Amino acid sequence: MTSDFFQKMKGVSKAPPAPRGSEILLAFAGSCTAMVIIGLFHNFFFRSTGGLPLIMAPLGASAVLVFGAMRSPLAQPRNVIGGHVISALIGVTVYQIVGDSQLLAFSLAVPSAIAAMHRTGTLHPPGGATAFVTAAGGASVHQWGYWYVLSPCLLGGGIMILIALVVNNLPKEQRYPQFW
Amino acid sequence: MDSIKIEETVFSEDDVIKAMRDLPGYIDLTPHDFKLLYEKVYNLARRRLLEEKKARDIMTSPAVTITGSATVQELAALLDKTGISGLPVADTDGKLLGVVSEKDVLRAIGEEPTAGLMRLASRSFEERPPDCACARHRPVEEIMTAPAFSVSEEATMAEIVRLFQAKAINRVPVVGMDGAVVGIITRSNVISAVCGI
Repeated sequence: MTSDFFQKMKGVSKAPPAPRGSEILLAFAGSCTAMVIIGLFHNFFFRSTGGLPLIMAPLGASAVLVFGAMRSPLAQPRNVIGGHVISALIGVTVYQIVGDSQLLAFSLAVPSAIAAMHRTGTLHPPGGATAFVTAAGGASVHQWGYWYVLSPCLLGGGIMILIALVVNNLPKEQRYPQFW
Repeated sequence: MDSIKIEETVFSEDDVIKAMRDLPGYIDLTPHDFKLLYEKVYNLARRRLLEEKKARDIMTSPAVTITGSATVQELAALLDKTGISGLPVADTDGKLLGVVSEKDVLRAIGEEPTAGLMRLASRSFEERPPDCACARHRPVEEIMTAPAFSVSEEATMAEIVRLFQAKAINRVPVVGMDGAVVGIITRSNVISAVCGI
């Protein structure tokens, strides 16, 4: 019945509780540390070699999960690295196929990335952003082709995980990761 | 086997939220999904308890038994000493003959099987003690319930509980393939199994 269809939209649950102030502080500190370190690496090594970027907007999204919701299955190392790498592979490939048709590119790349991440157990929301950026992000991204998968995806994600392994385990009652 | 629904009275969404606050960090799960999951997990565990646990897992073994030729006086002394309310009657090979309990002793002394301790105390005070003279030397096999209900070692918890409810009994002997008593299950055994104590 159509009324059931619309009834479903009313919602069925309360929201889970927000974290404590101390946990928010840790999320701030952890993500700040990660962004600064990745940013510094980017500046010193990669820019100076006229090289590959180490930063990308989707990494900011990853930081939300890794430092803001470290218990989430979506924030685990397998998801961060796997999610970005798979999504970038798909995004770059889609660009190779459809070229500069932006709408077509991101409409194909994002859903494909979602499906692929689900199938491989690497669902990571920032991966959708990576797929978008690699498929339709403009010349500054497309010029690197598949190198983009190595950096910023693999390396940027990897450095963030390493920082999270230290920062997230500092409080006694917190742990990271939940699984590899 | 029916599944149990977790009603609002068991726990509410607010209970879930309160519990989530108690865990460190942000829990990426809605209270609604938690309830759905909990219900499924609960029923899986319940099924495992009722279907997978067998008589041999919950029985008291070995069981105290008494021979058919023992007297009612010896029976009463044994029940008094062990603090149990009933036990299986077995022959010299350990084979189950029947079950005997306090109720049978009460009947034997001319009392109603539902009489309590205070009835006997009252009778003593009124100097109308129960008629023990004719009862004391009677053999247990004369007053026991036979044939008795029994279960095999493979019986599931579900079957045992159903038997207790349907037949209004408090204990059931567990017998091996040869009919020998290998253990006993009482309501306490069932409670312990359910509560995991």
